[in-house]
Amino acid sequence: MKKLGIRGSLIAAAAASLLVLTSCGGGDETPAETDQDAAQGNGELTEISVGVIPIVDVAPIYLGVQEGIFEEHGLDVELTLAQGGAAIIPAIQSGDFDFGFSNITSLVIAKSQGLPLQLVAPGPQTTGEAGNDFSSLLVPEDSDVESIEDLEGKRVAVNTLNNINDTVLKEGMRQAGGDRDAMDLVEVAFPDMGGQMESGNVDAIMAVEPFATLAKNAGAREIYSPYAEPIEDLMIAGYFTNTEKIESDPELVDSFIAAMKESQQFAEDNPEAAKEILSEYTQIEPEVVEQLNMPRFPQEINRESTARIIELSEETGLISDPLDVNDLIFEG
Amino acid sequence: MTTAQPEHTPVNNQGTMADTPDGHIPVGHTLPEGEALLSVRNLKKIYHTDGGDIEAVRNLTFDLPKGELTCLVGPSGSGKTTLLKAISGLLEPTSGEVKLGGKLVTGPPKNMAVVFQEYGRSLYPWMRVRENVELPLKVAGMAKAKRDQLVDDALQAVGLDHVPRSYPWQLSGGMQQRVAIARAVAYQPEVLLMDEPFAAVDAQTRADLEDLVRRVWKTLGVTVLFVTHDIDESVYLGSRVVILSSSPTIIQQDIKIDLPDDRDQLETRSSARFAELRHHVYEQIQLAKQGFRPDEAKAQV
Amino acid sequence: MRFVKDFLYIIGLPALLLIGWVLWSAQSTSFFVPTWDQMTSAFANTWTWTRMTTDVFPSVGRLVAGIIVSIILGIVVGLLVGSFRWLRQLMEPTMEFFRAVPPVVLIPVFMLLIGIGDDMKIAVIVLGAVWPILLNTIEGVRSMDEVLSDTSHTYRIAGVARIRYLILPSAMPQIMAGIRQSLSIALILMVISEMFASSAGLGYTIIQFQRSFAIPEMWSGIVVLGLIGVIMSFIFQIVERKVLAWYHGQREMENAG
Repeated sequence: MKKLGIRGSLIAAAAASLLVLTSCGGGDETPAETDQDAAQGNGELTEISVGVIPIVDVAPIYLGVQEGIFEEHGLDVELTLAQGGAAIIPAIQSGDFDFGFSNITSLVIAKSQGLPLQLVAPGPQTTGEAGNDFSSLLVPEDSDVESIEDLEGKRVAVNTLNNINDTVLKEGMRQAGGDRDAMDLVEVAFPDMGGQMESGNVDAIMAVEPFATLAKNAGAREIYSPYAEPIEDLMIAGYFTNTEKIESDPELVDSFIAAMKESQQFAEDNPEAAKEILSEYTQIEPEVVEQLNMPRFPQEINRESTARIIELSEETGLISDPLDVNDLIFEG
Repeated sequence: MTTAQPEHTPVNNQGTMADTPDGHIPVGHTLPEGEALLSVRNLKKIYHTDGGDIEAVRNLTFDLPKGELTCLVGPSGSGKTTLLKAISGLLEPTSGEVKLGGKLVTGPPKNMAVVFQEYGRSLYPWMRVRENVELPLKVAGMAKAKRDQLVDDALQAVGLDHVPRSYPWQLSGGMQQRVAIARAVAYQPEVLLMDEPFAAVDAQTRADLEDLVRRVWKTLGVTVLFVTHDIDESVYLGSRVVILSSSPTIIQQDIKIDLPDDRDQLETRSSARFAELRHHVYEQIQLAKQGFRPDEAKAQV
Repeated sequence: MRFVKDFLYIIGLPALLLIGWVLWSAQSTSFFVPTWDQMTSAFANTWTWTRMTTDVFPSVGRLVAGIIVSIILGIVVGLLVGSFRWLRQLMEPTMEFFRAVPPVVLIPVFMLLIGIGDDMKIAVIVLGAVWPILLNTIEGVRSMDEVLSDTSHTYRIAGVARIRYLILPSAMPQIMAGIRQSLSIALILMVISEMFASSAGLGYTIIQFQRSFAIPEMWSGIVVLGLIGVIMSFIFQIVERKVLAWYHGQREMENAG
C-alpha cells in the first residue's frame, strides 16, 4: 500500500474521527434522575432545579421555599436566575432545569415548533385594575400621546420581542381601533428603558415592576395597562416542564404542582411577605418595593386567557400552525 | 657593483598641527575662509549611554574644496559613520560645526546626496528602479519632462538602462548599489557622500563600481567624500586620503594622492607610486589600530 | 491537474464537515439539530429577496461602513501615534484602557449617547474593529527601516510626501494584517449590535429565530453569516495580494537567496 504521507494521514484521521463522532448519539437528553423514586417513599427530600427570572412574578416560589412548603411536599428546590423564557426553555430540554418559569407566549411558540413542553402550574395574573397593575405602558410626561392608538407609527420599547408583550400591545391597539402592526416595536432591556425614553430614542415603553414604578417616579405617565385591559384575567406566565418528565415521574410533578398551589396562595394571602422576599433575589430598593403594584397569584391555570393568547399568536403571525390549548396545559 | 636605488618620493601629508579648543592637535588641510565647499570645524561627538559618556569623536577639522574626490579611512570604531552622519545633517554634533557653501548644516542640506552601504535597505522595495531614481526629483517638484531626462541619463551613466521596470530586490547587490548611485546622480547634488558603499559587494563588482564612481565624478564635477575601510580602494579612488585616528578620533594625517588622473584597475594598482602610497596609508592605519595618539606626538611627515 | 488538486483542497474540509453533519443530524433526536431536509427547506424559505433587502443588505451595509471607518481611523491615528513618541506615551494608557473594554458592555452607554439607529451600530463595530488596525499601524510605523528613513531624510522627502511614499507603504504589511483581524471582529460586532433595540437586520433575525425556537431558520442564518465571512476573506485576499505584491516578491527573493 502506498504510504500516505503526513497530509494523507491527517485527512484520513479527520475523516475517521468525524465518522466516529457522528455515530455517537447526540447528547441532547440526559436521563431524569432515577433515584428519585426510591427517595420519595421514605421521607427524604428530592432535589429539583427550577429556572426563574429575577422579577416580582416569582415571589411565590421563593416564599414557598422560605416557608418550608416545598419541603413539606418532599422537594428540595434549587432556584437559578435566568434571563428570560427563551433561555429557560432550552435548559429544560437539556435537563439542566427540572422546571422552569416562562411567559405564556414563549411557551406557545416553543410548543408550536414542536418542543415537548407542558404548562403545569400558574404564575402571575393581572390585578385587573387599569392603572394599578404590575405592567404599564408609559410615555414621557410632556408627550402628546394620550392613548394607545396615538402610538401608531411611533416607536415602543419592549424588553423582549416575540413574547407576551407584543401580543398584548398589538391586541390593545386593535381593540382601540388602530392598526396592530403600525407600532415600531424595538427590544430594549428593562434597565435601559427609562434612559432611552428620556433621550427621545423611543416614544413609549412597556415596563413591568419595578421598572414601571421607577419610571413613574422619574415622571413618566401611564397611558395603558397592557396586562389588565386587552385580555380578561390574563395569566401572564406559568411554570412548565418537559413532557418526558411528566411521563417518567408523575408523582414528582404532582408534588411540584401542589407545592406551587400552596405557595401562590400564601403569597396572595400575605402580600407584605411577598414584597419582603423581593430583596432576596432582586436589587430593588426598599422604598421602591413599598410602591410596587404586585400581581395576583392564582392557584389554577387560567385556561381561557391561555387559549386567547394562542388565538392572538396565530392572528399576529407568531405561530403558523394552530395549537390546541389542551396539548399545552397539563391537567394532572 | 652598482644597484639602482628605487626612487623614493616622500608622501605629502598636507595636514598640520593647529591650536583648537581641544588642544594643539593635528588637523586636516584647510582652506581660507569661504573657499571650501564643505567645511568641518572642531567637530566633536559624545554619546551619552547608560554606561557613561563615550567620546567617539574629539576633533575633526578639514575642508573639502569644490570638485575634489576625498577618501576617508580609519580603523574600526574611528567615527567614520558619525562624521558622515554629522555632515549629512542626520546627527547633531556635541560641538563644532559643518558648513556647506558657507551655510551651517543643521539638517539634511539641499545639495547633498548620500549613498549608504546597505543598498538593500536604502532603496524603496515597493517602487521599481525608475520610480526609485525619480522620487527625490518628483518630491522636489521638478517637471516630468526634465525629470525623465535626468533619470534616463543617470540610469545610462550607471549602466542600468535595461532594468527600469524591475524592483530593486530583483537585482543583484551590485546593481542595487548602481541604482542608489543613479538616484544620487539624478539628484544633481553639489556634494556626494558615500558611506562604505562597496563594503557589502563582491570584489569584481567592487572594481566596476569604483570605476563608475570616478567616471561619475569626472563627468558631473561633483565633490565626493568617500568613506571606506579598504585601504587599496581609498588610494585608488581618491585625490586625497584623510586618515582618522582611533577613538576619540582626530585627524591623524591628510595625504595628497599624486597618482595620474586616468586610473585603471590593472595599471594603476600595479604602479610603484600606488604601492608607496598604499604602504604609507597601511602603516598609518596600523599605528592607529595600536592606539597611537597623534595629539601626543608631532605630525608625521 | 494542479487546478483540480487545489480545488479539492478548498472544498475538501467543508465537504467532509457537511457529510459529517448530515450523518449526525439524521440520527439525532435533539430539537436543536435540524436534519438536512429541514435545513435546506428553511434556507430556501427564509432567505427570500425581500428578506435580503430588508435585513441582510442593511446589515452588510453597516458592516462595510464600520470596516471603512475603522480602517481610516485606525490608519490616521496609528500614523500620528506611531510617529511621535510623546503622543504615544500620552495615549498609551488610555488606549489600553478602552481596548480592554468589550464593546458589548458599552452598548447601553452608546444607546444613550448616540441613540439606537444605524450610527450606534456602526459605532459599536468601529469600537471593536479599530484596535487591530490601530495597533498594527503604530507598530508598522515604529518598525520602519532606519536606513530607509535616513535616506529619505537626506533626499529631503518630508511631510505628506514622506507619509505617502515612505511611511504608509513601509507599514502596509502590518496594516494589512491588522485589517484581516478586524474583519472577523467587525462581523461579530455587527451581530451583537443588532441584539439591542433593533427591529431589523441579519443578526437581529438570527436572534429572533433563536428566541422563537425556529431552529432550522436560525441555523440557516448562521450559514449566511459564515458565507459573508468567507466572501469578505476572499475579497480581502485579492486586495492584499495586489497591494502587497512587492512585499511577497521581496520575501520570496529573500527566502530563495
